[in-house]
Amino acid sequence: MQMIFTLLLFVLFVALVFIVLLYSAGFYKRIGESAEQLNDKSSAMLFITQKIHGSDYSGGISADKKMLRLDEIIDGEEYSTYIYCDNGYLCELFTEKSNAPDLSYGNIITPLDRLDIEYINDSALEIKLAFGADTFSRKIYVNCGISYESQVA
Amino acid sequence: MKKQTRSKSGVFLMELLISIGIFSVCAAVCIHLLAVAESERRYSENLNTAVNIAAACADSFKSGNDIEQIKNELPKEAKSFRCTFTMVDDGGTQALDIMISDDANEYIHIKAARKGDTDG
Repeated sequence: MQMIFTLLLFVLFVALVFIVLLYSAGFYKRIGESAEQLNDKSSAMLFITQKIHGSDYSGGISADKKMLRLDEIIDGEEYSTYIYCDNGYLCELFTEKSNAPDLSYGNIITPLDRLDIEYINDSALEIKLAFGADTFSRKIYVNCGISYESQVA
Repeated sequence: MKKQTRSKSGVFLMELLISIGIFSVCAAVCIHLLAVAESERRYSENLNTAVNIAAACADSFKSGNDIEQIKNELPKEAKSFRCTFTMVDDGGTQALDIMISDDANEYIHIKAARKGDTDG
């Protein structure tokens, strides 16, 4: 009788160890994933916000529903930076304005499932980022105007 | 022979009970740490959202919107926070104190400034 009780207790102990281990591992994984997603979210939004504010001069910012184009003049040459979402990543492509951009050559910035840009008026944009089912949006205001184009690239 | 078996199983039982005791203490510490980690994760998520809300409000203020417009344009995530705005106008410069908090924490407190001649 005592042996059966001891064995039962042992089985209970092993089961308990297993449950606590599984629970802790699952929990640890969730915390890691959540931190990573939080980092991706803030990196993507900060990147776009800083880029827009950095180009806040007349004629600097153009947008369509999926892409931003930031224009600048360096040594008399016109250059454009395209910011867009491609194959699950936020990408940036810097090229001469006169060149037709090849978006497959863009630099990968951070993981992102979808980028939607809503043009509110000539001084405000709403940036919507989607990470799976999770969406994240922010209105960005500028002083020098945003031009809306049906297709910036 | 019987006596020996009983004695062995008794020692095993004692060992097992001690192991279970030690394990229970470790499990309790582990679960407590996980709870702390979860609370830190929530705080970090809320802080990130609060920074985003505060930055959007500061942007909105700098672009010339008044407090009512800023409140109307708050993102949907702001519903779970208390957003407090205090305007200070010294004639030349208008400053907006933005504080984002909830019942438990004050997440961010920033000041945005603009020239006083802007509408609102």
